[in-house]
Amino acid sequence: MPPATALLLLPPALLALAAGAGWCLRPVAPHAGRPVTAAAAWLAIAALLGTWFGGGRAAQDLSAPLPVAGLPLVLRVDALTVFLWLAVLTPAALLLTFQRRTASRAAVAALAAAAALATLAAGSVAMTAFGLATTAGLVLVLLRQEELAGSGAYWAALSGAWLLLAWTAVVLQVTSGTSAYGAIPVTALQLPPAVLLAAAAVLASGLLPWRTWVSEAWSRRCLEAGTFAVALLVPVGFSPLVRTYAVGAGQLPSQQLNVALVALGAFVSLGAALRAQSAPSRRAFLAEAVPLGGGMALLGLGLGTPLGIVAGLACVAGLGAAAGLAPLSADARGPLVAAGVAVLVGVPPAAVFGGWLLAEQAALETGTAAGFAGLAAAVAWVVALAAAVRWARLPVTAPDTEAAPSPRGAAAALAVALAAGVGLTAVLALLVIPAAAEVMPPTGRLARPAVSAAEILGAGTLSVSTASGGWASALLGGPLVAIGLVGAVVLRAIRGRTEAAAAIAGTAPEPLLPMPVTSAPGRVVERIRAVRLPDQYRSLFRPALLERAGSGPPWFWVLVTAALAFVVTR
Amino acid sequence: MISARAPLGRIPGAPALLGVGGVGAVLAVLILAAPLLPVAALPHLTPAARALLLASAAALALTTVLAPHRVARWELLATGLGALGGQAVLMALTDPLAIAAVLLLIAFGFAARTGARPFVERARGPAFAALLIGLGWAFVQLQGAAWVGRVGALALALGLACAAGLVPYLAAVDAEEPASSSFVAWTGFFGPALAISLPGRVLPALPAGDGAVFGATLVGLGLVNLAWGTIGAWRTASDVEAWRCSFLVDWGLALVGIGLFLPDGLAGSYLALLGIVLVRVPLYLWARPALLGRQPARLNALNVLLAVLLAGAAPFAGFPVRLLVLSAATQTAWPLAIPLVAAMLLGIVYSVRLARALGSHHGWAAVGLWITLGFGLLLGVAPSALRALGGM
Amino acid sequence: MSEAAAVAGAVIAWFGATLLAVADARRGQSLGLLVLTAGLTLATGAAGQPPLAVAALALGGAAAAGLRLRAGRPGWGLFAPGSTSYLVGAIIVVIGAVLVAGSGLGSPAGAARLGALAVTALAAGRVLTVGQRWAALGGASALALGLGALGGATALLAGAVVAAGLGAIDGDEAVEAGG
Repeated sequence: MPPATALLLLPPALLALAAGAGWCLRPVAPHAGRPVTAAAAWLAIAALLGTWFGGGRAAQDLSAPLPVAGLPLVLRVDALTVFLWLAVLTPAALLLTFQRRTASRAAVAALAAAAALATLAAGSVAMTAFGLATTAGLVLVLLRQEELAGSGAYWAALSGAWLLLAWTAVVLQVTSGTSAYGAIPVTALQLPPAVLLAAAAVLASGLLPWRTWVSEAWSRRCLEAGTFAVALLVPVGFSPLVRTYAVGAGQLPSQQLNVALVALGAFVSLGAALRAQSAPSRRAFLAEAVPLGGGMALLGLGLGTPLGIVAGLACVAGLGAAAGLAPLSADARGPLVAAGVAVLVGVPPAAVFGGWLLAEQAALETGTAAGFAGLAAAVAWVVALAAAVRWARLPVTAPDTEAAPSPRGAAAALAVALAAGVGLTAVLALLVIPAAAEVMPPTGRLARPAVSAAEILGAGTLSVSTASGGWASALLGGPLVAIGLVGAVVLRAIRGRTEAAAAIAGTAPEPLLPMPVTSAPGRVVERIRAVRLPDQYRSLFRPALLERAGSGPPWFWVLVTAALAFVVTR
Repeated sequence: MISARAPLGRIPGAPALLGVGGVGAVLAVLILAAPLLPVAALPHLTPAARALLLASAAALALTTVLAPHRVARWELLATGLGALGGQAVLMALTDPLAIAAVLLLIAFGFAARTGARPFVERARGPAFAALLIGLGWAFVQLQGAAWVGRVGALALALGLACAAGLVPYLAAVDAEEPASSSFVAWTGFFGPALAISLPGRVLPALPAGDGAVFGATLVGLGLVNLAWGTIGAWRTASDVEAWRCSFLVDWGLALVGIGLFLPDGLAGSYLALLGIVLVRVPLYLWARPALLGRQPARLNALNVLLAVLLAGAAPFAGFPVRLLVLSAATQTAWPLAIPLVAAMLLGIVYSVRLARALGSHHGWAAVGLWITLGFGLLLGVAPSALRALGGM
Repeated sequence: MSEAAAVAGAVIAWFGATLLAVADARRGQSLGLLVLTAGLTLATGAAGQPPLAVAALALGGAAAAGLRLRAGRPGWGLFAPGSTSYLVGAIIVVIGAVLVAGSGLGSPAGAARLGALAVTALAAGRVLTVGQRWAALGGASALALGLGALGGATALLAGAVVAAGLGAIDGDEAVEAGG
C-alpha cells in the first residue's frame, strides 16, 4: 500500500486505536478513555486535512487481497469521502470532547466513529451495507449501554437501511457483475436499484416528514448516545444517495426520482419546522435542528444540478455543525446558547445559513416545479425562525432528564459553525465543490457543464455568486450577530432571573401553528401494534395445534404429505 | 396409550451412555480421518460435511465446557460424542436408504434419553422422516410412471424438513425438557448434517423434472418456515417458542438456498447451517437458565451485541448468508427477493427479545458467550475462508 | 424359479409385517419380525443381492426378533381387539405397493422391491400409531429391515445393523415411568 494511501486511512485507524486504548486503560486509568478518544478525533481531523491537502488531493482506490464478508474489500478515498469524513469527524470530536461519558462508552463511541468513516470510504454498495450495519450495531450498543428504552425506532430504521443497501448491491451484482461504485456500468443503474438506494438513504438519515429516529434520540433521558448516533449516521446515510450520481454519470436514472426527492426534502424540512414550533421543551425544539437541515440537503441533492449538488453537500456540512452544536446547547442558558439556536435555524453567517440559502437558489434556478419546492422550504425556514423566538420561553429541562454538558462545548461548537459560515467560500472551494465534482464528472450523459467554482463563487471575492444572485455570508451575518448579542445582554439585564425561573417552571407557550397531526404517526404505530385476530376467528388459526400434531398418530403429517403429493402429480 | 413421563434429571445407564459416547467419538474420528487412512472401505466426507463436523465438534466442546447445564457435563459430553458419531455416519453414507435406516437408529437412540415428552412422541418425527427419505428414494429409483418419480422427489425434500423438525412437521416444545432431548438435537444438529449431505447424494440421480420438484419443494418449505419463524418469534408469548422459531428462520434461508440450485444459494445455505451449529445452538443453551426462569432476563452490552448477531447484521454470521441467498433468489426470479427481505427485516424485531432472554452470565459462562460471539464474527467476516474449507 | 422365490419371499415378508402390525404382545411381535426377516431374506436373495448382505439382513432381523422378547406385554397377543384397522391397512398397502411398483413385478428384483415396500409401509404405520415403547421399537426394527431391503448391499447392511441396534434399546415402559 502506498504511503500516501496509508496516511489517508489514519483517521479511522486513530479512532479505532483510541477505542482500544481507552478500553484497555479502564482498570488502571478509568477516566482516561474520554480524553484519549477526544484527542484521537481531533488528531484525525488534523491528519485528514494534512494528508489530503498535502498529498495533492488525488483520489485513492484501495483493494485488499483478502475479502471481507465474502466481498472484495474496496475502499475509495476521494474528495467526497474527505468531505463526508469531516462532516462526521467535526461533530464527533466536539461531542467526544465536551459530552460526559464513561471510558467504556467513549471507547464504543470512538469505535463506532471509526466504523462510520470506514463506511463512508467504502468503494462498493455491498461494502457500504456492511459498514452501515456494523456502525449501526455499535451505535445500538452505545444506546443500550446508556439506557434500555428509546432505541426501537433507530434499530428498525437502520436495519431497514442496510438491508435495502444489501438488496441493491445484490441487484447490481446480478445485473452488472459488480457493485463497486467506480465499475458499475451507467446502464445498470435503472430505476429500481436507484429507488432502493434512495430509500436506504431516507431511512438511515431519518428523512421523513414525520418524527423519525433522529428526533426520537432527543426524547431519551441522556443525550450523549442518541445525539452521537445522529452525528455519525445522518451524514453516512446521505453517502449512498450522493454516490448514486457518480454511478449514473452525474444524474439519476429518472426525472421522477428527482422530483420525488425534491418534494420529500421540502416536506421533511416543513415537517421539522412545524414540529419545532410546537415543541413542548427546548430539547424537543433542538431535536428538529438536524431534520430541518436534512430536508434542505435532500432538496438540494434531489435537484440533480451542479448547484443543487453543491448546495446539498453544503447543507450536509451545515447539519454536521448542527449535530455538534445542538446537543452541546441543550439545557444550557445564556447568550451563547441563544446565538447557537439562531445558528441552528439558519441565521447568518453560519454554515447552516449558507447551505440553506444555496439550496433555495438552486431550487429557484432549476425550474418552476423545483421553485415551488424551494418556496415550501423557505416557508419551513421562516417557521423555524419563528420557532426559535418561541424557544426562549420554553422550559429548560424536563423534570426527569439529566443535566447537559458545560457551556464551553456550546461555545466551541458555535465557533466551529460560525467559522465554517464566515469561511463558507473557502469551504465551498476546497471541500464541497471538489466533492460535488466527483459525482458530477464533466463527461456526463447530458451536455452539462462540470461543477466549477467559477459558476458558484464570485471571482476574487468572499461571496457566493450564482445565476440567481450573489451574497457574502460574513457580511450578511456580522451586523446581525452583533445586534443579536447586544440585544440578548440587554434583555437579560432587564428581565433578570424572573424570566429564567419562569422558563424552568415548565410551562410551554402555545404553538405558533396548532399541530393536530403530530401524534398521528404514533397513533398509527399503536394501532398496528394493537392489531389482533378477533376472538371469534382465533379458533380457526391456532399455530400451537401444529406442534401437537405429532403427539399422537401423525394423521396431519400424512394428510399434508398426501396433499402435496397430489399437487405435484397434477 | 401414552407412555408416562420420565422424571427429569434421572441419569441414564452410565456404562451404556459412555459406550455410546466412545463409539460415537471413534466413528467421528475415523470418518474424519478417512482420507488419511489406508482403508478403502471407510466412507468419506465431502468437504462441506467435514467442515460441518468440525464445527459441531467445536460447538460440542464449547457448550460442554462452558455452557450452563442442569445435567452432568460427562453425561453431556457422552451424549454429544454419540451424536457426533451419528452425524458423521449420516454425512458419510452415500446411499439414501442407508441414511434413512441410520436415521431410525439415531431417532430411537436419542428418544431413549430422559425427556419430558414420551419416548414414542420424540421418536415419531425422525421416524417419519426416515420413512419419507427411504420411500422417496425408492420411488425415484423405480423409474416407473412419471408421477412416482415426482412423489419420490417431493418425499425426499419433505423428509429433510421432517428430520429437522420444521413446518409442517413441528415437534412440540416443552421448556422443561433437557436440550439434548428437545428439538435442538434435530433442528440444530442432525438436521444440518442431513441438509449438507442428502441433496448432494440424491440430486445427481434425479431426472430434470424430479429435480425441479425437489428444488421447488425446498424453496416452498423454506419460505413457509421463514414466514412461520419470523412471525412466530415476534408474536409468540413463550420465549422458548421464540427461540425455536428463530431456528426456523435460519432453516428457511438454508432451504431456499439449497432449493435454488445456484452456487450462491448453496454457499449461503452452507454458511447458514454452520451458523446454526456454531452460533445458534450454543446461544440457545446459554439462554436455557433464563428461559427456565432460573435467571432474570437482562440486556447488557454483551446481550446487545448478541442481538445484533441474532438479527443477521454485519459484521456477524447472518450478513453473508443474507447476501448470498438474496443473490441466488434475484438470479432466479427477482420477486422471490421480496418476501426474503421482508422476513429479514422482521428479524430485527425479535432479535432483541432473544438477546434479552439470554440473561446475564458471569465468569466462564460469559467467556463462552464471547467465544460464541467470536464464532459469529468469524462466520461473518471470513466466510470466503469457510467456503473454501467446504469446497463451496 | 428365482422369480417364484422372490414372489414367495415378498408374500412371506408381507405376512410377517402384518403379524407384527396386529401383535399386541412380545411373542407375536418377535414372530412377526422373524417371519418378515425370512421373507425379505428369501426375496432379496432371489433378486440377486450379494449373499453376504442378505445373510447380514437375516442375522440382523433374527437378532432384532430375539432381542424384542425382552420387553413388552407377555404372550402372543395376536389379533387383539383394535387390530382390524391394521388388517385393513395391510390390504391397502398391498394395493398401493402394486400401484406404485407393480410394473416391475415381472422380475425377481421387482417382486423383492414390492415386498420391501409393503414391509416398509406396514412397519411405518406400526411405528407411527402405537404408543408403547416396546411396540414402537419393534416396528422400527421392521422398518429398518424394509428400508434396507429396498436398496443394495449398503442398504441391506445398514438395515441389518440398525434393526439389531434397535433391538438393543430397552423397551421396558418402567424405564420411562421412572421406576
